[in-house]
Amino acid sequence: MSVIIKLLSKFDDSGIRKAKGSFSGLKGAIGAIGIGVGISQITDLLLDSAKAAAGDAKSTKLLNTQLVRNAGATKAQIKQSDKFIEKLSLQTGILDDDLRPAYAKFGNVTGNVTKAQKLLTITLDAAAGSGKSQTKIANAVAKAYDGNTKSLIAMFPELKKSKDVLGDFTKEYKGMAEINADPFMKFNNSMDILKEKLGAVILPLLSDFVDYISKDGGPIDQVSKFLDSFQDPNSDASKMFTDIKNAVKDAFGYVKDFFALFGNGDAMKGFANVGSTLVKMLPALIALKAIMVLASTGKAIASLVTAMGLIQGKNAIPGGGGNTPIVAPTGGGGGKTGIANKVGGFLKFAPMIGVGMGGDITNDINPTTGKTFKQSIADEFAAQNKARKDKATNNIINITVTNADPKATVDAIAKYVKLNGALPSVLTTGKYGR
Amino acid sequence: MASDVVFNAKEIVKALEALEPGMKKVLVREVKFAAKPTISAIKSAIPKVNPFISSVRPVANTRGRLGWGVKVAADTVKPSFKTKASKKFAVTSLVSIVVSSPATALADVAGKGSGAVLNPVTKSYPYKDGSRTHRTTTQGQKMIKHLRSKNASNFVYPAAENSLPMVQAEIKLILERYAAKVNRKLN
Repeated sequence: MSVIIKLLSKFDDSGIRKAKGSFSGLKGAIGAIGIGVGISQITDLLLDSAKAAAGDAKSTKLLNTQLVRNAGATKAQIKQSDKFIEKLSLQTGILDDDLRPAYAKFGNVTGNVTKAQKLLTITLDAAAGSGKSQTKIANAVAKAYDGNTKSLIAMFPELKKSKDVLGDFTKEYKGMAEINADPFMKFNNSMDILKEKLGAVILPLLSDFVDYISKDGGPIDQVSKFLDSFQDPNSDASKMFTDIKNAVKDAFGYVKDFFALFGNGDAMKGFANVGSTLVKMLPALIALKAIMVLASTGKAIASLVTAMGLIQGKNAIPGGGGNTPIVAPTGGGGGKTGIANKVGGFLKFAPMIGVGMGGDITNDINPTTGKTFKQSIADEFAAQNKARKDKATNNIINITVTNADPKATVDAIAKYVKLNGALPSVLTTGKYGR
Repeated sequence: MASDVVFNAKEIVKALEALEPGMKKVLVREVKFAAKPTISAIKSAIPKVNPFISSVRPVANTRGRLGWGVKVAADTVKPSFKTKASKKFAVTSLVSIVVSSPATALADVAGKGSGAVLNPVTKSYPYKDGSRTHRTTTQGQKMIKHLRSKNASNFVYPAAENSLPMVQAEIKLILERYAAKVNRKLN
C-alpha cells in the first residue's frame, strides 16, 4: 500500500500488443478445433490434422526404433513412452516433437527407458528454471550421467562444490517446468495433440483414398489417358475439340457476313447501320424484343434475319416454322437492295443454320412447293406487289394472315392507330407507301 | 491531477544507452533530482508523530505489519522512473513519487469514506477447531473521527500540489533535452 503521485506519464502499448499476441495464438488454437468455423476451415483442419498425424507418426516411429535398439524397450514400454511424452508435453507446454530427440538421446545413453524419462524431466525442469537452452542442458546432463560433469558445472557453477552433481541438480530445479509452463502454450499443445489424434483417424482413410485414386485403372490413370488422347489427332476427344473450334470459326464468319450485308460488304459499317436503324426506327423496340426472344430460342443468326425484317418494315420473310409472310411486302422487297435479296445472299452462307430452322430457307428444293426458298420469296413478293398496286387507288392495305382471325388483325391495327394516331410511316408514306 | 504524456520514452532511453553507455543513469539521476522539491514538500507534510495514537482511546496495535514506522519509515518518499510497458494500460506513469509506508498511506486516505459499517457481523472465519463470526467493532469509526479532528488526513497531495507544475515542466525539459541529444546523434 502506497500513495503514488504521477509527475509524467508515457504512452507505450507494446505490452498490450504482446498480450494481444498471446490471445491471437489462443484464437488460432480455438479456430483450429473448429469452433465457429466454416466448411472450408473444417476441411483445412482435417487436412492439417492428417498432416500433423503423419509428422507425429514419423517422429514417434523414429523414437521407438531408437528405444528398441538402444534401450531394449518392450512393446509395453514403448506404449508407456508415448503416453509419457504426451503427458509431459501437456504439463510443460513444450511440443512433443521437441521432446522426442532429447528422450531418444537419454535412451541411448542410459539404455533404460525409466532412467531416460527421469533425465528428460530433469532437463526440462532445469531449462524452465534457468532459461537456458534445453538442447544444451540435455547434452550436459547426458555427459554428467556418464560421469563427465564438467559441462554441467560450467553451465551451473553452483554445482561446483556438490558431491552428487546430478542429484543436487535435480533437487534444485525439481518441478520448475510445470510451474513455469506458459498456459497458452499448454493450451495450444493440447489442441495440437487433439489434432494429431483426429489426424490419426483420418490418415488411414486418406491413405486408402490415395491408394484408390492412384491404382491402375483408377481416376488418376483414367484422367491421364484422357489427357494423353488429345495428343492423338484421330482420337474422339481431339476430333470433338476440332469440331468445336470449326463451329466457332464458322459462327463468327456468319455473323461477319450478316453485318456485311448492311454495310456494302463492310461488316463494321453494317453493324453501325443496323445500330442506327435500331435507334431511329419506331418499331425498333419491338424488333429488339423479337431479337431477344428469338435468339433465346436458339435460332441464332436466322432469327436475326427475321428480326431485321421486322425492323426495316419493308417486308417480311418466313418465320421460324412457317413460310407465309405475316405482313405483306410494301415494295422494294424483291429489289436489289431489298431485304429478301440481302437475306438470299446471306443464306448462301448459312445452309446449316437454315436446315436447323426447319423451313425452306436454303437452296434445297422444298418437296411441298417444288421451289427453292429464294424462288418462293420472289414469287410471293411479286404476287403481293401486284395486289398492292391493284388496290392502291382504293387506299386499302391488304393484310394476309395465315391461320389467323382477320377480325382480330383489323382490331389490332385499329388499336394501334388509336394509340399512335396513325399507321407507321413506312406503311403510309415514302416509296413503300401507297 | 493530470500529467503530461510522453511518447517513445522507452525507445529514447534505449537509444541513449546505446549511444553512450551510462547516459540512462545520468538521465534518471537528473529526473529524480528535479523531483526533489515535491519530495521535500511531501516529507514535511507527513506527521512526525503517529497520528493513530489517541490519548482518548489508544489504538490497540500500532506495532503490527501496517503499523506507523514499522519496517518502512513513515516519511519514506521516493522518486520512481519506469519505462517498462504495462499489459493492461497504454498510458502509465513514467516519473512518479511514491510514498511507500502503508501506515502513511492509510492515514492519508483515512476519513474520506462515510464511515458506515457495511455489515454489522463479520464473515465466518476459522477459529481454533471451528469457525466463528463477531460483531463489527466501532474502532475504525473512532480512528477516522480522531484523524479528522486532528486534520491528520489527506496531506500528501496538498503538499505536492504547490511544487508540482514546476517539477513537471522541469522533468519534461530534461527528457526533451535528452531526446534532442539522441536525435542529433542519430541524424
